[in-house]
Amino acid sequence: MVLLTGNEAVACGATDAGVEMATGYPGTPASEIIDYLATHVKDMYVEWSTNEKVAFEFAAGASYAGVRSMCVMKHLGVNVISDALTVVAYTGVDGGLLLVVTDDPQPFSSQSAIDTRYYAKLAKIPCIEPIDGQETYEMVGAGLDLSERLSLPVMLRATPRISHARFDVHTSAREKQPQKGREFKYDPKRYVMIAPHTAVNHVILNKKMEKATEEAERFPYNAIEWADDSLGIIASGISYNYAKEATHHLNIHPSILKLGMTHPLPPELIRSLAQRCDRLLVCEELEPIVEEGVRSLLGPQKVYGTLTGHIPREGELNPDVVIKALSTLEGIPLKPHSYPKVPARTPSLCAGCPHRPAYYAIKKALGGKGVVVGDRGCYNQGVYPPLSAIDVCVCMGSSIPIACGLYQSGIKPVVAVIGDSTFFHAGMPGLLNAAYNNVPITVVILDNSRTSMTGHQPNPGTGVTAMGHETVVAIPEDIVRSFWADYIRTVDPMDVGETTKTMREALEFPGLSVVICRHPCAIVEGRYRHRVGVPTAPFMVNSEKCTGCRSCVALGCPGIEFIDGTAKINGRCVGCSVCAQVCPAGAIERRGGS
Amino acid sequence: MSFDLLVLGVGGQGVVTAVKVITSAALNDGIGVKVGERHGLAQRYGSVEVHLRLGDSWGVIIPQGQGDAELAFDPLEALRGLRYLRDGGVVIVNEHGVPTSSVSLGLTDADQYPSEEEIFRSLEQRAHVFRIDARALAADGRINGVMLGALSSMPEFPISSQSMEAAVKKRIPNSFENFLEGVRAMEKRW
Repeated sequence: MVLLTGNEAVACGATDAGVEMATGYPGTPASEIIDYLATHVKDMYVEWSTNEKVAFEFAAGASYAGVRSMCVMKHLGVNVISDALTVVAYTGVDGGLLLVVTDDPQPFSSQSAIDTRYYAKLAKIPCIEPIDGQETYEMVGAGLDLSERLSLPVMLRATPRISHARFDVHTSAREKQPQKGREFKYDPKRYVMIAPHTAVNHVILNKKMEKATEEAERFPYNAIEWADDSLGIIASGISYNYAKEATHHLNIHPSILKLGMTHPLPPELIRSLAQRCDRLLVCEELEPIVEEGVRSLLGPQKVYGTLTGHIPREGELNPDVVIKALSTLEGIPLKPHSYPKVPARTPSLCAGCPHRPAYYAIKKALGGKGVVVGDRGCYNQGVYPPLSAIDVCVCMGSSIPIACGLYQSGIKPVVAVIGDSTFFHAGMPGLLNAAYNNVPITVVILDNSRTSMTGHQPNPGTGVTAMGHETVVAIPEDIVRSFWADYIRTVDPMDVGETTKTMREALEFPGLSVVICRHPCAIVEGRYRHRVGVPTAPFMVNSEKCTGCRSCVALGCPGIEFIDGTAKINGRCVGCSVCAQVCPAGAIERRGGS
Repeated sequence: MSFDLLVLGVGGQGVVTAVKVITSAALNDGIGVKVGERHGLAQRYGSVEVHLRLGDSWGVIIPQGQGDAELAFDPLEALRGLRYLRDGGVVIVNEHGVPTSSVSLGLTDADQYPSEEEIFRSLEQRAHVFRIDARALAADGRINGVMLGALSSMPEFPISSQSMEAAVKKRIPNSFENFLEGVRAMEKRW
């Protein structure tokens, strides 16, 4: 018995099920799967790809060669791969292809709470959902077997309560799969998806879904637990546990259909539960996908769930939500609870974060005018007061095109802010478009040479692969230059004066201007200092000089406090000096004076 | 057997490490474990809320009003976790917490923020509260060893003190003295 996170269970499941190739792009809560494989597994090809679409297409290529492959991303990545996903469903797969997706129903760390099961329906591929770590581990192998039997990609869907939770798991290496012949079989009618071939494969795909429905009826993780006849529960994924907990709590004993496969649904299992039970409650997170399927089989009369308002359509479920739904449905009174309101803690940019002075300089240069369009990464924490540095933030790579659209509509000046990994992921086409169509915005690339928000994964600008091999270093300046941007400057954002001056110059420049702010992530820098034994030299406020003007407070640094009219620097200070540079009274000094 | 524990604190206080110590001690005793935690992202200085379920349990989230105990590294976070605690449950709480950034930066009026006395009054209305000055007891300022020692000394806590000691020695050896301080500070108070 070992204690594994859901993500580690996926990684161990992949290793034990003979996955030979794993690709992905970091995204909370999925990132640790590739991290784990890259650092713990020797005989597997593991890569961080430049984006999810690249990762999925790479895995599809491996599958076409007969290799078992796995592709990992958060739910938002499925938006990015949807073009490829829907076509790979038409070509079918050779080696098993498992798409591991982590949804974020709450959401805890995402810009949307989409339900990726719609993509399984859209692309016509099976979707499987584990209830805990053990099933996660086992379902990786089961999903790959299913993928090979159906010649279809299979989606394994988890959520943070699986991915980041820890469970005791029994692992057992399966018998090593006899390696399929690694060859690409010439078959253009299958692999070359031009319209005449698509029409034929469309029919084949629909036939595969019929076969998948038969598979669903006997899928080992779909099962009915028979008990009382008055109420039946249909629960998928993690919701099954909440339903079990809730029935235990209320001391009721409904029959439960546990669904480990939510697309396609098993009609016979659903009908046999419905025949015995007077009412059915469907428990699922986000969209009523199972519920609508059940209604289309049985009619709406005795089906309860999201569509009847018993289960919420937004946010993650928990035992209390299901307890409330069951108590309403069964007329069981609940003891009311009331709890004191507690103020929230807002996460912030770290002390010493180089994004802080970059934002400060942008704001200074804009002087209260214009619009700043941010992008996806740690740096969207810059929205919080007192920094309040970004005005728009949508999705990966959207900063530059949105800024262009604003500019051409007469909103000026406009600054787009994008991190290095996001630039490589989906920012480059937007910048090329700005150059091509001659839109004179200012683009700021915050380059810390890592995908920091999700755990400092390497990216094309790092010089190292996921597996730790040295490789080429993509240099944003070179890419930007080849796009014919007219003004390109590189600054160290820790030099606040120089950065502000450069931002002003960039804003005044009549053409497309790009400023690259390059400095390592404060966490990476801190670890490096610790490793090589260079102590940090923190700052302090000379209370005699402090005028209480709050210039330093405007930086929103967690190392600065403002108490009784003067600033104080607390133990979080890492000595970045940015506050000392912005203090007009010269009141912030290095401890020890040096 | 089941024992539902909430481990609560603020990013950077060593909460997740403390949880790893407890889970490895539980496995050593052959006690089943499920852990629900929120982490990742730029959650530095954000709330950390861990649901640790020992023995028989279903999901990874403790239903409201069912938790047996809180191990809280911060009073405000103890208050936040109160909804999960059963009436009369135990709260072991570090007295001196981490102010929220909106308070420390002077962005929030102090009266919008519950005072320390209000926090403890709310806690004591529902739970048996054991206050501990972890910072004073931790020679090196790392409070998680102290908190683990306090938890380990709790009579109802189902993990053996031998396994807790061994797990602390293995996972955070530098905090073993702090652990013993935590045990000594609490063992006579139960």
